[in-house]
Amino acid sequence: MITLDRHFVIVPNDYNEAGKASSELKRTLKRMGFSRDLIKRVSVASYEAEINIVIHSLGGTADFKIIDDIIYLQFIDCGPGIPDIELAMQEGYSTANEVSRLNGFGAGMGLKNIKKAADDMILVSDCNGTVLKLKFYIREDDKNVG
Amino acid sequence: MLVNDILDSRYRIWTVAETGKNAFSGCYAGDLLSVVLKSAKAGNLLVTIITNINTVAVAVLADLPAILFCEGAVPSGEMIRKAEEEQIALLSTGLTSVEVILDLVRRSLL
Repeated sequence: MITLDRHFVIVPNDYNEAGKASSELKRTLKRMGFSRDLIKRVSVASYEAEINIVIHSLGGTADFKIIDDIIYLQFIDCGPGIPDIELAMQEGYSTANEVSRLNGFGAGMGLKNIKKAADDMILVSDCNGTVLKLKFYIREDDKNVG
Repeated sequence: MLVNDILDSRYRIWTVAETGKNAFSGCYAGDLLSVVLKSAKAGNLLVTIITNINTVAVAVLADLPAILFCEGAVPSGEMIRKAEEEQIALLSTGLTSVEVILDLVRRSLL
């Protein structure tokens, strides 16, 4: 059964709106009564992915779904893509520009934080864009806590 | 501890008085938002110089009740509005992050 189905457009370089989709997702998960640990893991992964689209891409979308006991997050952007995924996954590696760094981004922790937070992660990228799919399993002790 | 406990002549609160009643426990200092997200614990006071509006989004996601800007950094009107909407307290000081932490420890607030 689908209990959540939301779609967001993510605008590139719009630091004021960055994080809006993830904040809304967090509020929704809280309202649905999930555990603090699950909410934090989902929110952190979502925020990092959203920020990556704002900082690095030409724009994209985020889709959040809950089907039965799995939370699915999907982020798609319009490029320019990640040239070396293995390198991008390394802690501390960042291609963020000076403006992003002055805004507190570019720690080189984003993808690493996402991988750590999610139960399952698929990342595919080429010059046409990047697709990031994340899964979070809702366990019995994550339900009806809040 | 309450945010109001921090306030003296060296600290200023920018958000509505109500946010001064926010309780905090411990603190995390950092300027890289991804690292803050990874390491700050729920309830921590965030000490930073990053006045980007996204610092508020990070505080919301990490359940941080207050942000203290150090070294003279001050929040924009938009940031104050956003923080008030999320009931997060914004403070500022001319002290450095290390001076803030030493001061809070000295006053038994940490």
